[in-house]
Amino acid sequence: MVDFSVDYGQLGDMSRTLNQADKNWESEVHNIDVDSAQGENGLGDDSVADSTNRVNDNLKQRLSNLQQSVHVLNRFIESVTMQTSNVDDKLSVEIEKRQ
Amino acid sequence: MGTSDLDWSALDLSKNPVPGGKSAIDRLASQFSANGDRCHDVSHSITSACGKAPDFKGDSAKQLQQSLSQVAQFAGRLSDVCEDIEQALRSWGSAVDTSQQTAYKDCQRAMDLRDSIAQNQKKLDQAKQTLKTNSDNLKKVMQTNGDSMSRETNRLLGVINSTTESITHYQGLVADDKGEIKRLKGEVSWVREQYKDAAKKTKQNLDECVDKATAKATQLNILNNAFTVGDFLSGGFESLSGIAELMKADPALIEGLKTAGLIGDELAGDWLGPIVGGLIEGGNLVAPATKTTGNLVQAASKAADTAAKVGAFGCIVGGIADYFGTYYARKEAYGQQAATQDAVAHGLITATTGFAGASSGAAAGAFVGSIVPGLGTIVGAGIGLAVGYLGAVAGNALYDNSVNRGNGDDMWDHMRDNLW
Repeated sequence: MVDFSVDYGQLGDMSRTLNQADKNWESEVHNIDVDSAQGENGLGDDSVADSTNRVNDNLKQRLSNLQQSVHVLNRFIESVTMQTSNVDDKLSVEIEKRQ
Repeated sequence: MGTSDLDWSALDLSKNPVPGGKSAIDRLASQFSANGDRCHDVSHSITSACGKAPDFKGDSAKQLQQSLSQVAQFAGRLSDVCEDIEQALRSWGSAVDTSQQTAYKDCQRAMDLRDSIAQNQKKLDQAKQTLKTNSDNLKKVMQTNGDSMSRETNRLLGVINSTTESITHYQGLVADDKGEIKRLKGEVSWVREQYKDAAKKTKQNLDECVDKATAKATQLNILNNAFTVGDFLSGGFESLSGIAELMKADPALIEGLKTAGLIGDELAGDWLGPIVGGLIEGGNLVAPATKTTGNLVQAASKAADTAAKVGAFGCIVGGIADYFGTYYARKEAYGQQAATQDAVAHGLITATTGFAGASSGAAAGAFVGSIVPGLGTIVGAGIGLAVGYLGAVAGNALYDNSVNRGNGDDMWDHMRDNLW
């Protein structure tokens, strides 16, 4: 291929990895509730609780970025794999015709 | 002993000076750690699958590899950040625990001392009362008997002496206990300072984690934007796969296009090349195709479809190239947000007008080429280039003029600025 060539076995490995991460994201990534750990028997100091809340909110956003990227790449690789397979099928028919 | 049993008023405090629960803090730290492990798994899986770099060939494959690498790096970075958060919280939990060990012990000791003071104060008060009673009795006895020492007088004097000693003893105990409480107050105050220092350090560490997580996110947002601009990229790679397979199937065609200088190994970087290549394919492939199929209309349709695929890919690459070109050219001058907005707008305009140009050119080329092979190439190329090129220039100039960014003060300046 002139512009795009990968080892499709390798692409399959990656697809499985990303697909698994994409599908299981909600169940495997904790939705951390810092509010439940506030107070005298929780995080204690107010400034620590505030910072933990802030870093948790930020991390949630970043994890969402990552989830989106994993989802997009997963879709993309699925698309490439499926399209390549379809083209292979069509080409086989076309080559037979030409022969 | 539970914290609820502690009475901080024994140390003249209104509430627990070192609040917090190590077990709750550790539990929170573990949740962050588990999320970090998940990110690490994603990063590791992509990196190991992506590590066979020689298998990625071609510009688009390299772009995919780079994108995967960015995601892996970002996931790794998030994993590191989660680990940092975990460490910060666990350190905080340990600091809380250490502070509480001393403060809670001191509070309990102060409560015991307060009880002891109360008991000794009670005995002191009783002794004082005894002293007063016996002093009054002695006074009465002495009024009755005069100055002569009677047996009763001696007894009362003995009681008064021993009571006075008791009072001195109890006053000493109360003073000692109060002194110890004062020392405990000082120790708890010091522990409180240590606690506050640890809190300040933890806050600082956590705030640094926010900065670390944010640093890489911008890069990933650009990646996500690039991948989700109207889902063009996905469609582009679908076309790409088809093109690549067609090229494999007909190497003579590719060699011909290469010889003509219309495509090359830098296909992905030259977005005009594929469009022109698609137009030429649309015009020139019809004649041999009709010999095979014997159906002129069907062949023209097939050729146009193929040409549109090639053209679609080219305009997407052009849109993406314009996206990144605009972003990096304007990032310094207008800031990241404006540069991203302009990049998305330029990318979409270029891709859309390029697509319109490629489609119309391919269709015209296929139709005219099916009647007069060769002429279709010229007609299609002319229409495709005019619509694609001038449309993108006008669209981008109109956008720049409306947001008042880019080089130029009016529409004509922006038109000139957007000419390639």
